[in-house]
Amino acid sequence: MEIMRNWSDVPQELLGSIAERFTSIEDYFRFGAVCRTWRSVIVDLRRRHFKPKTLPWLMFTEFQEDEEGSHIKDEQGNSVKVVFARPGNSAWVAIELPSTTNDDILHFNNQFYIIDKEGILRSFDITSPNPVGIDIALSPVHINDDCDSFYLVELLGELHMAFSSKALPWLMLPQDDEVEGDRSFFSLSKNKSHTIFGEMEILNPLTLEQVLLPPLYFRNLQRLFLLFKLHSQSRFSNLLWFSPSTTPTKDLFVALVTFSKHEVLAFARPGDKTWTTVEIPHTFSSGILYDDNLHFNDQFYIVDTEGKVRYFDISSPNPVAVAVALPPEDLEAKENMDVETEGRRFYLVELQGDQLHMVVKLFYFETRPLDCDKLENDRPFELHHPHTNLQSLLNWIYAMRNGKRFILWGTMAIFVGMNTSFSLLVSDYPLIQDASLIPSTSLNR
Amino acid sequence: MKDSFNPSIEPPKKTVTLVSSDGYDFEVEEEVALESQVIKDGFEDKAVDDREYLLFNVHSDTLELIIKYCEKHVSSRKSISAAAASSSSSNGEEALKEWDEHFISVDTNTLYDILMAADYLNIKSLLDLAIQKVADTIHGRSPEQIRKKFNIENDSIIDPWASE
Repeated sequence: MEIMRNWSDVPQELLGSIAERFTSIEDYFRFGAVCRTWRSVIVDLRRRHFKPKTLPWLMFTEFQEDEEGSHIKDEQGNSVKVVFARPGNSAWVAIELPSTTNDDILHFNNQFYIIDKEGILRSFDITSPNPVGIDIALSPVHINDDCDSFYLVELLGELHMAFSSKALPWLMLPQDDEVEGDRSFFSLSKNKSHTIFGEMEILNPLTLEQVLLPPLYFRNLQRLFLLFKLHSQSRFSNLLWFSPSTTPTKDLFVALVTFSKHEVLAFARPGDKTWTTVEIPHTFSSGILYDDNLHFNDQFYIVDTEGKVRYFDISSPNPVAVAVALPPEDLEAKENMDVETEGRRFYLVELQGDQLHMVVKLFYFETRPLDCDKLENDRPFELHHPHTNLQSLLNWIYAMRNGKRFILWGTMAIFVGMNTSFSLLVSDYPLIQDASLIPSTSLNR
Repeated sequence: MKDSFNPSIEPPKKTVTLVSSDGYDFEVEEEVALESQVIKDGFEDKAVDDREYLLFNVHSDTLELIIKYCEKHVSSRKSISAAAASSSSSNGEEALKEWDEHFISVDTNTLYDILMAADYLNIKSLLDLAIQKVADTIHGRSPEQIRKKFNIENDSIIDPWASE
């Protein structure tokens, strides 16, 4: 028969039945990466709240709190630890690393690279059943007064290490006293330190799909922060594609970046040649720092460090972030009452596909007794802006535990992480109730 | 000749004529044709001398396979229930499962044809079999390997800087 069989033209209903048969999450997402038609099938299944028969993969980069307990480091200053979760074999995989304090992790050339506090670069292969970090390089500088954190950056197809520094011996940028923790760069390959363009790539570890983002100009000091923000954002955004709460179409995928201290929020969609900035009205020049963002009901939601929620529409040519909600009035009182509270962080999470919730994580000193680790009742957001029917959708959840990432809340299991929060129905994934299967918040043994 | 699938008719059984998209007639027993829910649905309303079905979407090569499948399932069902009635032990179901597995072990083009025909004729057990086979074929493969296996063009990668 000389008939062309076009598998991308198989009726959606049939493709949906095929996708429902998968028993591994990898198959499910790889199926969706094959072509547009097949992807739309996965999107449709999600719309109908179909849940694949396995738990999603989880990948956490752990933020270690300051040992002094004096403050919470921002995301760029945090130490990073890595836990992988592969539910298929019912065992959760932690990356075996000799050092427990790791600064950064980057996926590059199908390997993961981790750099630790000592400047030792290791690679590991997550397809191995027991991933072990292999030493591959040592930084020529050490953490000291000159250098306080290492980062991994991919530039022009090469893996680079970067570090934050105050003394800036390799500075190639104009110094700006207003900006703390200027970054400077060097390359693992020699004579590459004067890279002008930085291309960032977003990679889905399951489908190995890659998306290039618009180039960034390193000469522009303001955008330097953007790179680091972007770097960590891109790392986390990978997860959006396989968290069940988010529409996984590349057409809707957006890299969102913020410029520290510059109140600028920008995004790029695949295919965009430049970054589009989002106007944020009624802010002071001191700027806004964002804790989290979420794509929900075709809008982007961001929550700042004060707990104020804004949304914007990326389909608009001149997007404006509109404030929709304020944190509960008693939040300040609650913090004052709990004198040991040393900080808080806001997260946005989608519940059941139709409710937007905010999780507030309050940090305590280690001495705080564990009986304070509880969830309080949810309560509605205080609406700041008359916006459609969000009233019933926005709710607060207090999660009051140091470093806790996973909470069982009623019928829902909520995983909390910057740009990675998602929720599952416990009844869909009974495994979740076995807390021993969920990665703990620390790899310390 | 493709139109004599049932040469030994004794006692004479009611038959139905299925016409493939490329114009071949297939005369099959009524109960075999009734494996198709689509044929079954309008069956009683049709005049006995007008039991001919033009299957515009099913090529003769595929129709041959479909009929083979349906005949096997009709006869297996009979022998399984006969074995159950005489309460003699039977591994009929298991044997049928094995037969199915062998039946569906075809190249992806044939699998496509079977899948579409089973959907078109609404033969539930065959549709299930084909769907499971596709899912099994996808299992463990990367998107690129899946595309290769099913001959699908990758239309989803957007590389905005490819031309630069």
